Amino acid sequence: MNFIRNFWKDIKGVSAVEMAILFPILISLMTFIYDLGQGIVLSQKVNTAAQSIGDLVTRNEFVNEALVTDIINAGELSLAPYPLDEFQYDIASVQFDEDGDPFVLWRRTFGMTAEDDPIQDTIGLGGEGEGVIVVSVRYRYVPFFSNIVIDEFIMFERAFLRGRKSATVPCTDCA
Amino acid sequence: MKLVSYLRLYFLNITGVVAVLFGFVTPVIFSGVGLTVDMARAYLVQARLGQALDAAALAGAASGSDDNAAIEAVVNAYIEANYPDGRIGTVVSSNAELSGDELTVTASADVDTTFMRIFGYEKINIDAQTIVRREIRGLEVVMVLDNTGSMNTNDNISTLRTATQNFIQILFQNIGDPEYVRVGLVPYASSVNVGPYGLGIDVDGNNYDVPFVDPPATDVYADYYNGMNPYTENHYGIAEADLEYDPSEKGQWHGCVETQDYPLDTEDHAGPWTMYRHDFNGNSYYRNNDYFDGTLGDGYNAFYGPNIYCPVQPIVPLTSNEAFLDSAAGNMTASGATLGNFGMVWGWRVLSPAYPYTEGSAYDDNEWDKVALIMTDGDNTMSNVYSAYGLSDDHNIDAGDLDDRFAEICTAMKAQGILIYAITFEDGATIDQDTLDLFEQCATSPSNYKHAPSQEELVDTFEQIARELSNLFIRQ
Repeated sequence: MNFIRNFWKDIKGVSAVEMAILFPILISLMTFIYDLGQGIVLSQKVNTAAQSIGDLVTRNEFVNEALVTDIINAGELSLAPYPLDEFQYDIASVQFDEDGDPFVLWRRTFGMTAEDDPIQDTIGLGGEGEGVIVVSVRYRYVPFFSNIVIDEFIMFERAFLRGRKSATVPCTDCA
Repeated sequence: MKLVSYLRLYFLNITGVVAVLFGFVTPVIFSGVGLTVDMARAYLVQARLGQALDAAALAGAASGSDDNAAIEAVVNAYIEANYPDGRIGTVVSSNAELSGDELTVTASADVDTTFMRIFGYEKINIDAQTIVRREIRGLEVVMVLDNTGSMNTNDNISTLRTATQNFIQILFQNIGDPEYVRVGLVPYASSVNVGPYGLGIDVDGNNYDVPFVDPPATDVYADYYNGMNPYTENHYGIAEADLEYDPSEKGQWHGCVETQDYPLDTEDHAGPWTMYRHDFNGNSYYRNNDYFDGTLGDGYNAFYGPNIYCPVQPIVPLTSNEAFLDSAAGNMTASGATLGNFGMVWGWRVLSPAYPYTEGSAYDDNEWDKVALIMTDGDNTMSNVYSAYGLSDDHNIDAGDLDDRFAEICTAMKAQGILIYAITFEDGATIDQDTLDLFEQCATSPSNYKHAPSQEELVDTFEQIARELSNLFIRQ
């Protein structure tokens, strides 16, 4: 009994005890801000990657396999210095038929499945003979202080761009 | 006094100071973090809005419309696509304003605050603006059209005339300003008809440029002029020195040329070319001097003359004169063998800025786009008598060689940045798979290759390409 009473009465070292209680709060606050900052920078880079891949494609009247590869490499550069192993993309050039329905002229996909959603989402962006480049990108963000405050999650961006020099951007040798 | 001693005691007392301090600092730390989060969200919204606006403004400018409402519709659709619901922030307004060639797009987005609402700021408003300048680029289109004998089947030639006329009409109509469209026609059969231009004269009889066609070294028809021709009433006999462009005279030169040897026949070069003088009279060759022995051969037919299988309609160099193009397209007739490669190379020569036809813009001129459209109704065929390659006895070039050369020309044209549409038309005749493949590979991309298995589809295909091309016209 005395031991317990003495423990409560003894005020020496209270600062240390208080610090021990507060430290986790301060640390998690710090990691939260760090990871949030990283996430914001990365999220913007992922968006830029999607837009710049699309932009580089739409600057051409037509593309070929080699050019598309170069463009993807350029898009990946906008993610630097973040690692590329978490980066996935799906680039499609579509054209609208006489009913305004899109069909794919060419498509390059890496890491993700080539779904029909992005193609269907282009409906309404042009009339017959016109086309759209739709670029979908994914990046799995793994926070540095993983799972302390922010869990890892997938960043996803999709960009829709129209050809600058031509109604559609066909590919001369794409499979 | 009492307060001073109280404060002294307070500062001297060091027990439990961390928790108290933290208590004081907590609001500051948390509002700092909250502010950071809100500002970061606003920053993301601004970046995304800017990107969406850029994409939308470019799409709006490229849509080719001059109608502000139509452009605004495109702009809004693209903003919505690039800034979908469910993202941080909401686009609350957007506006597109076309003034001259300048399109200004402004938009405004709201982002709900998380922490700052404590201080009464529930939303942060973000404005963005993008200005793009439209660059109007013109279109040069050459139509290389099959005028061969097989086009007589089912009167396909008249369908081709209609299709070509519709194509021209749609192109000029959609683009609106003829200043930005130039169309050329290259009808081909056993040769192509370079028209009076070959002798340095344009269709109006004015000086055009230096002549690029020479009379043949020895024109067998001239023998008849020298008193040997029993058929003077057919006017076949004309002295070489008197050969001139005159489609009304059967024995005169109607405009077709013989080709040069490989590889010049696959290149855009400056000539000169030799006049096409078909030597076959239905029975034998004049040129080989094995026919005329003072008596007339069997089967002699006044129908035959030096210009047989030469397309009647000459090349129309690139022009913005819609009415002239329309009447030229209506003059096309069908006769002769299929030398698709020869048509194509002349299409290239019409498009290229180089002599002999110099209407084309420079390849590196960003204000003009070059497009070639090649159409056939059958496989390349080599005449077994006479063609642009001369007497078949004098060469051993076969249809396979023509295909190879055709492919070479396509590759060279594409290397110059020319957009190629290739059309195979199959009504009445059958085209073999090699030719279909050849044309598909000739086209810039598989989507630029079209197969038209009927007359209606030929007309549709031409119209569809015309619409695609008019979309190509304005760009940013």
